[in-house]
Amino acid sequence: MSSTAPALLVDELVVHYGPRLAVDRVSLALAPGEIVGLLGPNGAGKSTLLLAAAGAVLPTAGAVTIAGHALAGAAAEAKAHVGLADQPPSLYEFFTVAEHLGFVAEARGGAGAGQGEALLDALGLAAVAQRPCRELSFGMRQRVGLAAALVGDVRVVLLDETLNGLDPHATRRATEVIERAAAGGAAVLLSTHLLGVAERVCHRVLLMDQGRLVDERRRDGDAPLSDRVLEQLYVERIADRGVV
Amino acid sequence: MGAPAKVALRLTGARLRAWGRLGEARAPGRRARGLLGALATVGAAGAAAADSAGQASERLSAVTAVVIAALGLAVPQWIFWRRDAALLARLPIDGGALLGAAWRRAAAEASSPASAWRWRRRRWRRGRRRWRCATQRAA
Repeated sequence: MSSTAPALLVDELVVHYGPRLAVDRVSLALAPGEIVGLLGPNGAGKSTLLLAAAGAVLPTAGAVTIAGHALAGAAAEAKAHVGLADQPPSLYEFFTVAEHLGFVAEARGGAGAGQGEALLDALGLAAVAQRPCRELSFGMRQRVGLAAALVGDVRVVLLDETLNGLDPHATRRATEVIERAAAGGAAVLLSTHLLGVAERVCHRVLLMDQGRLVDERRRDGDAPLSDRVLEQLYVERIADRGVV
Repeated sequence: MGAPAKVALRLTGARLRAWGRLGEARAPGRRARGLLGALATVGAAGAAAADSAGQASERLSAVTAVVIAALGLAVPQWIFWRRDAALLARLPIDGGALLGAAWRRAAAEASSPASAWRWRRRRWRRGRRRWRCATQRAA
């Protein structure tokens, strides 16, 4: 992890859906190479925060800066360096997996030679590269969404429950790919309910509730965060409101 | 970090339309729409041929009004709402390219019922001429 300028900077971000406040003055900074977990109950505003950080939702107030480019002022430059895997993954149903990656890479200004193929191979998708996206299982779609989030010159990766629904092999492949992207300098913000994955992969974990960041835990040196600690923190900081 | 470099947008309007055509060519809805249009055309032409000129004219006017109203309501939807909107919104695609592609798509969609309407009108005029000739001969 380096201590250079943040790859992702979110400053006092506010997002409303009509009268409902979804994100309430959230500020955070991700350094290049950092993997940050985002935990919180359903409806906490995690997905909205990720969408707003990717430029897919317009914030009511606040600013997002990606790799030095303000999303409000230089949207094209900022969006070229951010990849979002949303939930459920937005895929072109009638494109093949390879075509979908090709389209996203071209839109982002092109990918490195063989980057798409390498990603598909690393995620165990090489065998389905020529299959239309509409024929894929949920887990495969999640992995294609992850590959699409990483293809091109991406400096910030936003993952919305991308590891949900994956079998253990696929989870291992996906986490390896995420860690490799971080080792290459990308900042990763990973929304998840899987505390085990968060404690294993993340350098830092943020807790979000009712649109606000309510707590943070940082990995102590190289030791992983303990899922017991995360669970205890979650239970202490976030009230159980039943069905939300 | 130095001054951020400008990104060259590579997905031009032409490339965006090419990708769009690739997806649309495989979508089953296109074939269904074409079949529906063909059936409607055949039905309207059949009705026009079977009825008297006055009845056919009324029917054609009604069908045309419905088609134009549906088209008028649907075009803004084609332009502003697509299933891939969530994906396109987060990609660095030039707004002009997106709008240009949407207009071309809407124009292409609008032209298919319009050409069917022109064909029906020609067919109806031909029928009316025949009907006049027949009534004149009978008289």
